[in-house]
Amino acid sequence: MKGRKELLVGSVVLLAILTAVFGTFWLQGRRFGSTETEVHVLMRDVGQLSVGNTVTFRGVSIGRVGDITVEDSGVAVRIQLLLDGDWILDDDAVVVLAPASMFGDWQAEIVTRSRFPQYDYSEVPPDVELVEGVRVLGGYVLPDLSRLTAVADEVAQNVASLTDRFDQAFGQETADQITRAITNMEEFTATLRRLADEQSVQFLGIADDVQSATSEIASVLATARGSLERIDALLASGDLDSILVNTKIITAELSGVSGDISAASQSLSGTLTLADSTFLSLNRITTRLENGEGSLGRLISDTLLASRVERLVEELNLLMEDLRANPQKYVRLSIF
Amino acid sequence: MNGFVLTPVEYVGRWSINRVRSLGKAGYLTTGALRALRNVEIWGPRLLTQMVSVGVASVPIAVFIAVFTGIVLALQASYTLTGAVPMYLVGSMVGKSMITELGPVLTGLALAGRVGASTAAEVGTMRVTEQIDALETLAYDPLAYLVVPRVLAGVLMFPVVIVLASAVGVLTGWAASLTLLDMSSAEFVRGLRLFFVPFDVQFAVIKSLSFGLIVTSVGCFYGFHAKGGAGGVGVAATRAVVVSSVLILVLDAFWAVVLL
Amino acid sequence: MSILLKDVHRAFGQNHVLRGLDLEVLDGETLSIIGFSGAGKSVILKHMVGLLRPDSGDVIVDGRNVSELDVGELNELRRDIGYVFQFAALFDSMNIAENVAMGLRRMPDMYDDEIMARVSECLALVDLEGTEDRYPSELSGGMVKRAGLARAIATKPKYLLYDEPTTGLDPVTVTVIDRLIVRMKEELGVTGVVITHDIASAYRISDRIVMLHEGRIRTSGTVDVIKESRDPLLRSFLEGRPELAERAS
Ligand SMILES: Nc1ncnc2c1ncn2[C@@H]1O[C@H](COP(=O)(O)OP(=O)(O)OP(=O)(O)O)[C@@H](O)[C@H]1O
Ligand SMILES: [Mg+2]
Repeated sequence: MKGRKELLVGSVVLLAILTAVFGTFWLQGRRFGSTETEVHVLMRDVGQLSVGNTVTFRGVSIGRVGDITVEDSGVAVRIQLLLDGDWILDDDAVVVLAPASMFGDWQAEIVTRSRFPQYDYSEVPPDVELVEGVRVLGGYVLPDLSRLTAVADEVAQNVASLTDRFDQAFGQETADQITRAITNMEEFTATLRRLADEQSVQFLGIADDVQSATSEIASVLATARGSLERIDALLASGDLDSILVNTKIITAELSGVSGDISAASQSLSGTLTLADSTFLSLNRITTRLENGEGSLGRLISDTLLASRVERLVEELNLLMEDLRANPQKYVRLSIF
Repeated sequence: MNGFVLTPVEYVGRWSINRVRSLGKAGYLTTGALRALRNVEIWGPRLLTQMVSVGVASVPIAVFIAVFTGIVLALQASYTLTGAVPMYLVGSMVGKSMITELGPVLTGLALAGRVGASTAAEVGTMRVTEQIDALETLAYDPLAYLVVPRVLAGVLMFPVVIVLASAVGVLTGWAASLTLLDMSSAEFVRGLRLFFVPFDVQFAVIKSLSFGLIVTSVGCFYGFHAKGGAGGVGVAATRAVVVSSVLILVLDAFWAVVLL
Repeated sequence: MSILLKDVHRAFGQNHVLRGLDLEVLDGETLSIIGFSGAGKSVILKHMVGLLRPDSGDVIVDGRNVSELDVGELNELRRDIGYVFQFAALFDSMNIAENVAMGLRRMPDMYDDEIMARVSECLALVDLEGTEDRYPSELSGGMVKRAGLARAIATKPKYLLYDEPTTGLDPVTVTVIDRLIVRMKEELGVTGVVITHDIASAYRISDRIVMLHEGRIRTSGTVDVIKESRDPLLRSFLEGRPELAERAS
């Protein structure tokens, strides 16, 4: 009788313990009994990477992030990667940290430096503390949405100071026109930022929020693009009178254009194309400004400001390129 | 006149006095039970029996609830996730909510009914039929004999039951995703692992421990202070279930604030 | 050593049950307490084992003031006291043998076979041989009562407190129990306090009888003194005549 009870309690308790322990291991993606290769990465920051995130190699999950610690010196972070099985990594292997999906989880991807030469990888200092048998790699953190917005913000501000000069040089209406373009730009930035801020979207509202956020971006971008194209054209014509005449037409068309485009750009990729072309327009403006083309361009050609804007736009373009290649890395939503 | 003015005030006064008094009683019971932990020779032999009745006997109902929760979670998740959101998130939602939230809380509530009521009824019956007095005259500390093994069994066995229930819930959610949602195992497991951190399990276990503590001690408390006959026992059982259910939800929020 | 209650007051809310009760139980005697239903007889007994504490006054048992003892000391004292509950208060989750063995398991140096031997012995004393494996719910009211008695005497206590040990038993069993009570006193020197409504039985077993009324001892004395008493209330109780009590009050 008593023995039976003990057996019963014992087996239930054991079952639960085994479930908890093996379940945890399994959910972490650990394998039992096989060997593990430990690799360390030293970098300045780790983005949103956290313990337990997957490590991929050529797109295949091969391990997980074991531990993340700040080095004693305080200037670097050491990431421990635990790879399943035996791995001998390429001599120029580096690690790229990037979002793994749209939902806030990150991953560490082992790549070769030559595959993505454009990144500014952190170098492993020669005096680094070494653990025997453990490779230490350099790495690069892909920027996420918040960096994108920060840069766009800066562009907007610089373009705003350009407008001030416009204002000095021309009548109120021209200035209004350009101001509106700037506002659109700022709005776009704000939307991007809001999207980034609203990463903890409520459980139930995910789908809705994604949908509305997407179309919001779409419409803002459409307006922005429309305006920018007009400015572009204005700058090209370089005729003060026609600028003033065209202002009315531009204003009228703006809303129509934005409506059309937003309807056509429901999907995220559509949005991204739009964003891209917006920045292209901006880029063109800047180029012209820099070359002093058109009367406006000449009037306000201030090499310092123009080059600053250009540099920013270049950076933006780089980000956009990446954004187009890996859209899911930039839209980050976390449910829980 | 006087009565009109004073009655609400008096009412509040009496209410406060009663609250303080039951807090006092609870504190007395708690310190008594802690002191009674010394008397291993009294509660030790009773622990196993209580582990069976609190834990092992609760596994079927917990599993039953988990089976349906798992299925509903999978369907609900797929219903919520439309359009741009990938289906593998069904796995994430089933896993995360089953392990950290629904497993512990739903099982806790079910056990509040099962264990809380039976504890209060058993102890309450012993109180009103003077069996507790009889224990005392036989030199048994009733706290050591009745309360300690029950509460310990609750603390030890709730996590056990909840771990099993959560595992079953995840498995049935998985099965439902395969059969009802046309997902692949690989997809589900990907989602399942995506947001999993080992802390989820610790979090669930900590919660479960506290639920076990609350349900059994509230049951013992109301049983211990049961008055009158069968009616009094009924009142004790009802109160135990209501109070421990409420406390489970409060504790759940508490842990979420403290640990997340 | 004896039992002494000095100026004990005890109220339950508005219900002032004991109102300055003085009572002494001498060493080795059997004292019967009689009194109307609800007078507070069971309450007195519960004070003697510390199940209830007095609002004021002292309860001294075996030279120790019960309300000043800590848990350990109280348990120590309780090992020397057997308590027969009015409604038996058997543990319904255990069979009769385990019920009777409960007190014995708290005794130091008792082995299982000794305990079981003692259980059978006690059950035989109350005519309950062969009921070891049955549960309280499977026994008649009288059998349950006797099992409660067996549980109380199992530990061979120095003091035995019987709360209506013979109420509800058939006349033959009443005699068996009465003899048992007398035997406990004579063979083991037990000090006994018996609450009873059975006057004939009280005469048979008691050295002294006290009557409780309105929270105090109304009358006390040896069996002969009680039998001769002229107190109308006592007479009304002994003879079962309510009209005498009305005249007395
Ligand atoms: N735990 C308690 N709570 C409240 N009142 C109580 C309690 N115990 C006893 N009383 C009250 O004390 C009074 C005396 O009760 P007690 O049980 O001592 O009577 P009794 O003399 O034993 O009567 P009976 O002969 O019917 O057994 C009763 O009025 C009862 O209501
Ligand atoms: Mg009584």
